[in-house]
Formats: sequence, structure tokens, C-alpha cells
Amino acid sequence: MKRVKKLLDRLLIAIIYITILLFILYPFLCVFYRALFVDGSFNISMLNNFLTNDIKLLTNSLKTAVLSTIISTATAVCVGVFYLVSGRRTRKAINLIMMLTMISPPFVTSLSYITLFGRRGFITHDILGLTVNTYGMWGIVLMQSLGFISLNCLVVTGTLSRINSKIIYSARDLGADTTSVIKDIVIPMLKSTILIIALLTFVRSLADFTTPAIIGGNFNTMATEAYMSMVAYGDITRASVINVVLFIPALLVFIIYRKNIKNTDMNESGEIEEDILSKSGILYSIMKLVSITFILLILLQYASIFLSAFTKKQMGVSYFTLQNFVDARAHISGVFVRSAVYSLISGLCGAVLGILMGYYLEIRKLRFMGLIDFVAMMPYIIPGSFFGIGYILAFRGAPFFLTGTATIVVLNMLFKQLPFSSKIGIEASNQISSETINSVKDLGGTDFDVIKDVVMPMSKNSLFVSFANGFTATMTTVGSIIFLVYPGQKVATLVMFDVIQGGKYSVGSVIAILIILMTMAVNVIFYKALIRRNVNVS
Amino acid sequence: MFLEVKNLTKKYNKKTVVSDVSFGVEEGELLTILGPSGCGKTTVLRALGGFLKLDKGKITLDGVDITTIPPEERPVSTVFQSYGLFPHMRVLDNVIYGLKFAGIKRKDAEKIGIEMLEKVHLKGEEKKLPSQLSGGQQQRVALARGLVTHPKLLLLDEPLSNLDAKLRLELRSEIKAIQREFNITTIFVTHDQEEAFSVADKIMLMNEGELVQFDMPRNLYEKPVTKFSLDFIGSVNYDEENNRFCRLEDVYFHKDGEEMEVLDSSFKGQLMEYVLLTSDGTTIRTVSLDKSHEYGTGEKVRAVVKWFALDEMMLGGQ
Repeated sequence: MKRVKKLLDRLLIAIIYITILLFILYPFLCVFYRALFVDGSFNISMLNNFLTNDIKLLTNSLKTAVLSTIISTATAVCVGVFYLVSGRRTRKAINLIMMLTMISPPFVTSLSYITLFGRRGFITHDILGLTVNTYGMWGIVLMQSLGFISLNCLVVTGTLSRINSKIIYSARDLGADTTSVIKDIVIPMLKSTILIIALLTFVRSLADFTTPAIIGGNFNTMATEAYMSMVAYGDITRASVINVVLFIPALLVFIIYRKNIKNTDMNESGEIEEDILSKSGILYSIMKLVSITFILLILLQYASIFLSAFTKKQMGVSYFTLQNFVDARAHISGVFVRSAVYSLISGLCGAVLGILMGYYLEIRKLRFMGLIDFVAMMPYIIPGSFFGIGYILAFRGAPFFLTGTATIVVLNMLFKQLPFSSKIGIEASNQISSETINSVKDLGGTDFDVIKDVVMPMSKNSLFVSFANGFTATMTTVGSIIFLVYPGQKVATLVMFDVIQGGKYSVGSVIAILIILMTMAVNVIFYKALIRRNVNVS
Repeated sequence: MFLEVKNLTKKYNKKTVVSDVSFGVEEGELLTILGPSGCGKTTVLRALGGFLKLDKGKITLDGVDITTIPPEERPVSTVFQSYGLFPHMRVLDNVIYGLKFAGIKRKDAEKIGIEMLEKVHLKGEEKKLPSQLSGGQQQRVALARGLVTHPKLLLLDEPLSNLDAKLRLELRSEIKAIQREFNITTIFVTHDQEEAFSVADKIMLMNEGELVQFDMPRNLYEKPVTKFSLDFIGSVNYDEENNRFCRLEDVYFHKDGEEMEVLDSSFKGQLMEYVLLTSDGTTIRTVSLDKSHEYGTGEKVRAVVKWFALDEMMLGGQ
């Protein structure tokens, strides 16, 4: 029996090594190969061509990214401070709203933008009576900022909750009013965090193609160009070149990020004490104003989507109806089931894989696991479309022939969220004391028994968290799978994207609401299950 | 009274954490608030620092009612148990932080800060970050930071709990010396009875939110007013049957004493501790500094016991 178990252990290790190298590193290299090699030899002419002819795309992308980063980061800090100073009820409200944006498809913002500010938008057309072209860079910047804010806020409040409240008390004790505390203590202690969220936002903005595609108008970014190259011209080489260029700033950012993440404590965040600062001072008032403005904008977005889904216009007058839902049916039959199934599979497998990785890396300290860990982080930094194109290049030929199948989509989703699930897995393993592990061996168990009887059961909470995240990510993803999914195999987000591109905004809103509801349901179920387990979520 | 506290009451979610506590402290005095965990002593301190809204009560400092004044405006400095040092600022910047709100220019503040650091034996550490200092050094920085603004009241919340035994003794006397030198009214919270006794001019003993006894250390020890006081302070031998008690040092070996048997003896380094069985079956403990005579288990000895009646004690004291 021991022999079998030892074999299983080796098998698991092999699976981890092979799958990660095959399904992350290999596709990644394929894109590079396609972009930098012509007829088998290294050739940067395509790269050069792109940089000389299409430099405007690059500058557009960078301009947008910088602006979105500044706005989103500054706002996140404001909301963080507002959260710190607010009472329990306000904090709860902020948490709920941020949660909502995290479980929404990424281009919900664009959709609401059109609904509100488009040619026939509620605000521009119906209220202000204008028929203007509001598409363009600033629309993109605003919508991206709104979309990225939730994750940034989460990171900021996480850091704030780890600040020892006695530090703030000491400052007050020594005479500091709220403005001084924010200026001298809170913001300096957030420096590292601010850098991190700025870097994250920058990368996400560069990679975002749905927002510019929907509301960019004539303003093209690298990401949209890559998308257009594939979809309109079928030019996978050009798409590869663009993605390689996009990768460079992403890599730089990632290096800086890694350096700084070591300095910040990213562990469990606790509760911030209440009444820690008084609600006074100019600085606080400004931050509060900014926070409330953005929160209202977010709420406005969802209100507009809600309205858009439940109303139709006739002769310029809107009325409530469920007709949009009926219209949507034609588009979505079977789609939600497919989305849910994909999400379930990728969520579960991703979670398990993450825990196993954590075990082999942290507890067994396997030799090449460091490298594997690095590779596993890669999907985090490369744009979604990069990953998608990589999969096409890697698996369309022999011996895989996976293009057009459900398998390639699920695999893509699974490995796309490995950075998150592996990090959760590593933390889960860190929390298991070596004494517990040694006891298994001491009593006669093998390594496989350690995994089966100790690591897996003790990581149940982490599995839940990984799963919930994986499910949500898959349900709301677009970028990496947009090229992998064939007609007849559509998933919910892609249908929504198509429908919006086709101008059927109301139907798009319906689908958005359904996606949100489904994702929310799963998250709530798992959250409740976690609570019943009486657990701290890390 | 320099500091007057009247009817201090604080409730958290219907639970009364501090109940109707009143006391006073003279200027320059060091009061220790002593009690077990959860007795409310830290709550009293936080109330004095201004970090709590009181349910009832009034606090007067140097003739001024400070009950509703926020911490940034109170002339009170607090040194927290975890020190609360600003991790991103150097030692000197930590120490002089409070001075900028007193309107003191940076150059002057730095001078004052360096002087203060010398006083707490941290000369030369100005440019270090708190994380580069040991626990004892961090504590001194926190103390310096609290003192430099010349507060009217200094509050220390279990300042020595995070340190090892030897360091505690060292810093204990340093704190006492500094307090005397600055003549600053101080309140020191601790759960360690010996610590309280070594530094305090007066001790306020608390239990379950109530003030049990307020007195000089000696009186607290010799004239406890409740069984809790008796139990908490020092070690006690009880004779429930005869309703009496005595301290360990009230039992001593003497040839004219009653006969007893040694049940156990332990070498405690500085002294010997014995468990004795009296002729009427009571078990009592005693200590002896005399290591030339070490008694072993089972040995028969003679000892005198000075008993005190329990009721008598409860009526005595304040």
C-alpha cells in the first residue's frame, strides 16, 4: 500500500510540473515565437514595423493607463480614509457596493456609460437634450477608474486594518487633529500599498480591451487593436506582436510589484476599530466628497443597468416591461448553464491545484517549485488576450487539436486564475504547523497521507475562498477566452459583449443582471458555508 | 487634588466595565492601578486619555473639567502597552512629533528631542527606525515621546508587560526615577502586584469594574479590606475552620513553636519554601531565608504562627 501511495505522490508532483509548464509557459512562449521569429529565425522586423507605424496605439494605451491609474489610485485612498473614519453602518454599505463591482462583468461600466451618456443616453439625450459623441479617451478613463476602484479599495482598507490603532491614538494623544493624522501617519503608512495598487491598475488598464472597444469610438488602444487583428483580420501574427509589446511594461511593473510586495504584510486583515478619528478637518471633507461622488457614480451605473433591463422606449417615452428578458432568451438559452459548468470546473480544479502547489512548495520545499511558482504567477501579469492567443497557437495543431472545444476554454480559465489560487494555497500551507505534519509521519503515514489527511482537510477554508474567486473570475471573464470560444459554445459574458456591440443595450443589461445574480448567489452560498464553519477568511 | 475623578462609569453593550469609580491624585504623585485582567483598569486609563465616551462621571485636571475634551487637546500623554511608535518615522521624529502642535519650530524641537533621548539613555539612536530597536529601547522612545510635551498627566498602560524579567526591573526603576525628576503626575496600570508595590506612592486596587481599595502599598498589604484584596496582594494561608489567616512570613521556625511536619520543601534560589502540616490538620506555607537550615520532607519541626482573624481584618483599613 505504501508503494502505491508513494507512487501517487510522485504522480501528483509530475502532474503539477507538467500541467503548469504545458498550460502556462508553453502558450506564453508560443506568442513570443510568433512575434519574434520568422521562418524559424529570430527577427524583430515585425516588432520594429509595429513600433514605427503604430506608435500612436502605444501612446494611446499609455496615456489612458496613466490617467486611469492616477484617478483610480487617488480615489481608492480617499475611499479608504473615508472608510477608516466612518462608523459601522457606512462601512458595511461601502463593502457591499465594492463587492457588487467585483462580481460584475468588467464592461458593465461601459454598458452603463452608453446607457447614461451615449447618443441616446439617459443623461445626455433625455435630460440634457443633446445628441453628442461622448465616446473617446476620457470616457474610457472614467469608466476604467470606476471599474478598478473596488479591488484597489479592498487592498487599501486591508492595509489600514492592519495599522495598530494605538499608533493613531498616540498621534492624537500628542496633539494631532484628523488632518494631521491623515497627512503624517495614514498616508505615509500607505505608501507601499499605493504603489502596489497603482501598478496593478496600470497593468489592468493596458490589458483592457472591452472598455475602449465599446465606448472608445475612434480612439484605439493596443488592446483593442490586438482584438481587432484577430477578429476582423484573422492576423494572429500582428496580434502576437502587439501582445509582446504590451508585455514589456507589464513585466517591468511586475518586477517592481514583487519587490514591494515583500515589504507589505498581505496577511489576514482584521477589523478596524471604530471611532478612531474624529470626522473633522478639510482634508477629511475633501476625501469624503471624492468618495461619495465615486460611490454615487457606481450606484448610478447599476441603477442605469437595472433601468435599461426593465424599460423599453416607444416614441421617446420609457415604460416598464419584461420584454427585454423575453428578447434575451433567444440569446442565452443554454449559455448560462455552460458558463456555470465551466466556472464550477475551473473553480474547483484551480482551487485544488492551488492547495497542492502550496503544499509542495511550502511544506515539501520541492526543488524547482520556486520556478513553478514564478510561472504560475505569469497569467497575472500578461493581458488576457495574450493568454488566449497563446492557447490558440499552442494547442490548435498536433497533438492537441483543442481549438473549438470546451476543454481549451476550461483549461484557459483554470490556469488563468492559478496565481490567485496558488497564493491562497501557499498561505494555507504556511498556517499548518510542521509539528502536525511530522506527527503523521511519526505515526506511520506517507507524504500522500499528509496531503490526504492533514493538508486538504485543514485547507477547507482556503479551498472555499479559491473556489469562490475562481468561479467569479470565470463567470465574469472575457479577455482570454474571447478567441477560444466558437459559435454554438458561447458563454454568458461573450454573449453580453456581442449583444452590446450589436447595439442591443437593453438585452445586454439583462444578461449583466443575470450574470451578477448568478455570481452573487454562489458567493453568498459559499460565504454562508464559511461562516458556519466559524472561520477567518484569509 | 491635582487630578479628580468622580463617579466614572463605562458600559459596553450593557455590560458595566467600570462602575462608579472615584479617586484623586496629588500633583507629582505616582498612582498605580492594580488588578486582574478584565477589572477595568485599562478602561479607566483610556477614559483619562480621552479615548472613550463616558456613560457617567467627571474628570478634573488642575482645576479644569476635561471630561469631554478630545485627546488631541488634553494635556495628557499616554504610553500604550504596544508603545504605538510611528514605524515610518525615525526615533527623533517620533519623539518630537507632539511638539509641532505646540507651535515649536523644527530646529528647537530637535534640540529638545535629543536632550530627552539622553535622559532616557538613548543617546545616539536618533536616526534609527523603531524596528531597529530592542523592546526596552522602544519603550524608552515611547516614554520620551510622551514626556517631551510636558503633559500634566502621564498615563502608562502596562508599559513593561512585553519585556523580560530582568529588563522589567531595570526599566521599572528608570521610570520611577524619571517620574521623580520631572515631578510629573503619573498613573501606571499593571496586573503585577510586585511591580505596583515597587513604584507606587499610592495603589488603587480594582476588581470587576469596581474600586476595591485605595491606599498606600503598606496599608494595602497589612490592612486589606476585602477577601479579594487579601488574596490578590501577596500570598496567604487560610484556616477556614477557625476563620483566620496569616501571611507566609507570619510563620517562622522557633524552638518554642508548635509541632508540625514538613510536607514539601522547594528551593527557590533566594529562599526556601515549605509546606507544613499543623497538629490540627491545617496545611500552611512559609518561606525561609535561612538556608543554613534546610528541612526535608517528613521532618518534624517547630514553628510559631501569627494568626489574624478574618472578620477583624475586614473591618479594618479604609
